Amino acid sequence: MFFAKLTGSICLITACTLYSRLIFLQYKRYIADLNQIYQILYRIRGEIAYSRSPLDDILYHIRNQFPEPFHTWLSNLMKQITLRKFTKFDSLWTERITEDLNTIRLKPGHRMLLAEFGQHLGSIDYETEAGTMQMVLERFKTEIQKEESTLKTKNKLCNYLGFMTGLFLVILLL
Amino acid sequence: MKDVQKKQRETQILQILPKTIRRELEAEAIDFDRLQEIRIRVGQPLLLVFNQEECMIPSSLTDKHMVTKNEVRETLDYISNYSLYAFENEMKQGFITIEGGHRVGLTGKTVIENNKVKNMQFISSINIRIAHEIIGCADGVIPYISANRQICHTLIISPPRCGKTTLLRDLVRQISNGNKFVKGCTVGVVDERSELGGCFMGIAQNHMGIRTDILDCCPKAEGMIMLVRSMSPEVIAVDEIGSPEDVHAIEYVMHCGCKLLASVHGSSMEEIQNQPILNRLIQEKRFERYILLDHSIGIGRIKKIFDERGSLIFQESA
Repeated sequence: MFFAKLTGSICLITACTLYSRLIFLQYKRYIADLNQIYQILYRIRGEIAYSRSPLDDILYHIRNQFPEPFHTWLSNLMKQITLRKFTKFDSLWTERITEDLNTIRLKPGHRMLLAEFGQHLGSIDYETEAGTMQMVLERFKTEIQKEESTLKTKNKLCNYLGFMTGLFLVILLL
Repeated sequence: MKDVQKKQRETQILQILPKTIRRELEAEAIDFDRLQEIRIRVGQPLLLVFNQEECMIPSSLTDKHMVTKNEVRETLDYISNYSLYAFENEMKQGFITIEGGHRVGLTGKTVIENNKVKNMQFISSINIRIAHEIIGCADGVIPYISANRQICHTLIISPPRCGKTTLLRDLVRQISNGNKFVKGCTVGVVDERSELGGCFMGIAQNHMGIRTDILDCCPKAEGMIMLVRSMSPEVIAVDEIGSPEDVHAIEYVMHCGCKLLASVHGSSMEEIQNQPILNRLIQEKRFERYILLDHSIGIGRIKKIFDERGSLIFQESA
């Protein structure tokens, strides 16, 4: 009986710890996704500055360099630009973020920042646009740094919380 | 084939128009073969030009379609593929060439920097000029400007809107492809204003022949020298020459053994001879043929062709 209880307790504590690890890994993945978005925006800005190609051409060239769901996001954006169904680019940009990046579950602040990048894209002169893009990129970088700075604390917190929850449940059940 | 081209042209034009105007044009069943221009001005009725005659839509109603600011904005977004920054250089010149070689003229408030137009903002008028290539319009000219299956140095003299660019384009196509009068040869085209090739994203939208290389949006003088150095053309074609730099470049091209096809604004041989810049070239008999166009006998019709001595070798019968 004692061994059964001991095994059960160990299993419970391990499961809770693993679950908390999973939550932490998801958070790490989220930061990696934010970094991917940052890279995409950075590439768009770079291509605009270097080649001054139209957006559909830029998206066509960069989309294959990014994994899913970003590849689909960029591909759909490119297709919709060619179809010219939207009267304004920012509504197209926002719609594609909602439709194609829903798996990432962006935080409202990050979603707004991403939407802001597309707000004036292609509708103003290059100089103003370059300034706006730079500003959004800097804010995005700061957000990523902010998230990364809490990574260590969150790692510890997840580990402790997982273990403690397991322990609490063991005590409760015993 | 013609139907496919017509359908293509229709799609190319409709896709750059705002949805409201698109719907009305579709309802009117417009003949895009005859359509020359679409004029979109903020606060003014939408104008269509067919064979030099204007008409407003909807034709059945007295209340005509009035263009709004948003429609102009929407058109601009579609023309630029939501990428205005990509067309800033073209906008400085006042027009954008779109897919199909159609030209979109723009007016609004110009932004000036160092006494030069830097950009344009608050666009209020858009003029869409539909490209109508006339393939074969140079058929009658080729025999007069070729000798031993080689093209002669030729200057096309014409007042505006007489079809000199159209003629030059067809000459380039025929020389590049080759026919019974000239053997197909490499042609380099310096297309400063994208009028000859109607290039969209660097690709010619008009038929320019199989051996043609185009330098799009490049200053003529610089472009001619670049072509000689990089593409070894046998013939170089340029539209609307006139500056001293152009003349220097023409001399350089001719010294390099390339044949030259050029056009210039003018209404007679005497007028060209009196131009200080071109006078020397004519006196030195650099050009072997001069083609004179005149609109009094119809757009694109050849009035006279002269040789290097100024002797008349062809005259249009009245």
